[in-house]
Amino acid sequence: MPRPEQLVRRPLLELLRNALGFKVSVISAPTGYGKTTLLAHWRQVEEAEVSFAWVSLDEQDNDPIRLWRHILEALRQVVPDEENFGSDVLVGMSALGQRFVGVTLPTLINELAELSNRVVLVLDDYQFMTEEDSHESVAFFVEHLPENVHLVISSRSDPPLPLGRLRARGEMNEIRTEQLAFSEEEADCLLNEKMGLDIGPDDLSVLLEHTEGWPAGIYLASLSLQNKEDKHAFLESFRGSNRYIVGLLGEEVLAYLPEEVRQFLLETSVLRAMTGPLCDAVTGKEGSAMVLRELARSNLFVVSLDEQGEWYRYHHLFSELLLYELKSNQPELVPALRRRSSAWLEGAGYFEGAIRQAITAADYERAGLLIVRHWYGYASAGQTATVGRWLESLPEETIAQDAALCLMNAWICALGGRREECERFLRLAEGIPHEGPLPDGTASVESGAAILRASFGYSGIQSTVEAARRAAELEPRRRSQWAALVRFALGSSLYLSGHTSQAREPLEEALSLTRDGQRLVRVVALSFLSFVAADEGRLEEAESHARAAHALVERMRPYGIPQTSLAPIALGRVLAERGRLEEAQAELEDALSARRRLPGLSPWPTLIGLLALAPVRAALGDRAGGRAALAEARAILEAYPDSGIFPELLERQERKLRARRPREGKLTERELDVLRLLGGELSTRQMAESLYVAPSTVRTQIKSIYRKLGVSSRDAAVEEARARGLI
Amino acid sequence: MKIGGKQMIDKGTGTVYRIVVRRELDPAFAAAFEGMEMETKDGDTILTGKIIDQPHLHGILDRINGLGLRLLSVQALPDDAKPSPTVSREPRGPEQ
Repeated sequence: MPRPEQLVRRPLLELLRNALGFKVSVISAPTGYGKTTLLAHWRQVEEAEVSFAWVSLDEQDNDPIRLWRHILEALRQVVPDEENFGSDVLVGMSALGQRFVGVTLPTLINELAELSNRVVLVLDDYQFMTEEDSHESVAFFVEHLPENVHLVISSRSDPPLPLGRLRARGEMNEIRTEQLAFSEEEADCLLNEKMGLDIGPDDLSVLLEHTEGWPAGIYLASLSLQNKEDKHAFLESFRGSNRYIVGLLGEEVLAYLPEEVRQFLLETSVLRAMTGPLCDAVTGKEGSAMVLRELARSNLFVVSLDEQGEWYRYHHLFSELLLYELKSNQPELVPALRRRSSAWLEGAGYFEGAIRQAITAADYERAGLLIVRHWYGYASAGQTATVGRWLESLPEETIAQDAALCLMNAWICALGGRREECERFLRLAEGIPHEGPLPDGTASVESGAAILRASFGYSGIQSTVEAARRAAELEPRRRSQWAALVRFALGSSLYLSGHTSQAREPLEEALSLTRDGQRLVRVVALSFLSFVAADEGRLEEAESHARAAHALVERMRPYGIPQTSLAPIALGRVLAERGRLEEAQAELEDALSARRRLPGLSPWPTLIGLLALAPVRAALGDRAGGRAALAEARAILEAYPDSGIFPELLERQERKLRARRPREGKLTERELDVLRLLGGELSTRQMAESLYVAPSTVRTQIKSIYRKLGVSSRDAAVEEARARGLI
Repeated sequence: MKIGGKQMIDKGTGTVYRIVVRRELDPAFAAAFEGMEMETKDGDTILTGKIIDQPHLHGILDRINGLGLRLLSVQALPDDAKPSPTVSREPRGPEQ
């Protein structure tokens, strides 16, 4: 039901309805022009016939992956088969850029086109989108919009989409500031009909002229007018006044509120979203839930965020003003308010909100503590980017003075493939005196550093094994959230140093210790177990582990964590062993190209991948490509003198793929006859018999064949002959 | 390459900008434009201050948009310009 003071603006609703035949409606006007209200009314009017999927954007959504996840969630609410809708799309939200736009979006578009209902997709507050990738994806979507979908973009600034083209082709409906401004009739309706203020036409036109029809301004004036005896005098004061009308808020509207309500509004203005218990904690009083409900009922500036009526927020303009009012008059309160909200948010499990409050309050010590307490859960679920963002809001000095923050930063750098920065932060961490355990559960700085070194192996394999042993000593507790990673580090370093059989147990232990959220640890543990099994010839087991890792990675795709490339490497390796060469190549090439983008990653998985890829390329006919992969591997090894089993493995492969000497003379007809027989099962004697020559002749011919083909064995001769198309 | 952790603002660098919006803002709004001097003149408000970089500038412009203010002009001032001293304010009150 529209609220009484909310004008139902029929001409605009008509405009929107008539535009359903267009592709896009763009509602573009500054804050306070009633864009959201208009769209909400439109939804109420049309909902019987058309499905509305609504996305309210905020600054956090400025990332194409988050944007499209929101859109997908909103669409799912309105489609009949919500379970399956868009499930392929979610999986495909991996690489950005071309693959997202070229592959993933078309999938979604096709699914939408297959729906029988018409859908209106609303993107509200689109001005928060600033990423070029986001705009590109939306532009593509618009270009290929299915007939049954209408897109509405509501924004404070014109979206950087090809609007000119859409306009020219008649595919876009626009509602702009001019149309959203109140007319005389509408102002009259609001002030007189709806709010019963009895304002005459002259006074009305003074107000209209001063506000230029700005609905928020007019609404504010109406609230002030409710408390005025002499309405005419109040409005007359606007004549020729240059005062920014919103500044009235402090004196007029707030002044007439009961003291407790005013104070409530001011104190809660520090919050982005409000709920009863949170407001109680912040204001130090009880009964906030009821205050919020009452405010939402009587006031347009409080917006309900959910259906249950538990969460609210202020209209953006209102909260800005309240905050400035608070900062001007009671600035000393602000830090305490933010601290209280941060504490409540952390207690209620809203860690990001808690951290944001601390950072906004410039309470970097608390922010740092919160970040260290909670980062591991986010990182091991794949949300390293979130943790990175938190770190970026802390001043360098805060980080540099805190061992736990330095150590954590080292982890984030390693996860992001930034090796040198990782080592820098590790050294910093180790240089800061710190006693005892760290807030993230690490037993000590030394323990954390050992686990880190053991997990990434930057200093060479032998040092990695030592670090892993040290880590296991320093962190023996099975219940620690680090336990799984410690076991993994031990297992993986043993594998890399050639102790395959010893690697199995710690890797299996790691798996059994991974809790529900530690997907990344499971992925790497499964991948290494797959390597172990493959080396032991247990291909079925190896494939099963690799596929399990792969399945986990699919769910983590949107986060783009480089370490997930271990899964395709494991799978590729197994597939190669099982002769499924093309599939193997696809997995390996994909994984390696992802790893190449970040030269600071751990070299060992890359080496495993390259050593698996080289023979695959060669077997598929690209020997030169195989040699190139080995050359890449050799270049990497040059930087790592302490490299376990790898030099030997590499040499073995290099020998197999050695470049052949150039053809020394053509094969004679007789030699070709022999060559053809070489491909079969006959012995030299039997070959001689079938060719009616002496065995010694055949033997001489075979030597000549080998020489000319540059090989030294029958198998190699056959292979080479086939490669050259001779047989 | 981003290292993580922001640098504390070095007041020595940056360009002074002069931004004019329509209507006269109350002193309370100075809190919205930290680091800028605010003065009212001829029905407009003038914000002057050192802007560190483009994102800083766009943040201020976004804030102006977020308050529903009308932006009249944005000007980068020559290096030797200084923000002008705040003009004494008239007393607050709707009755002028």
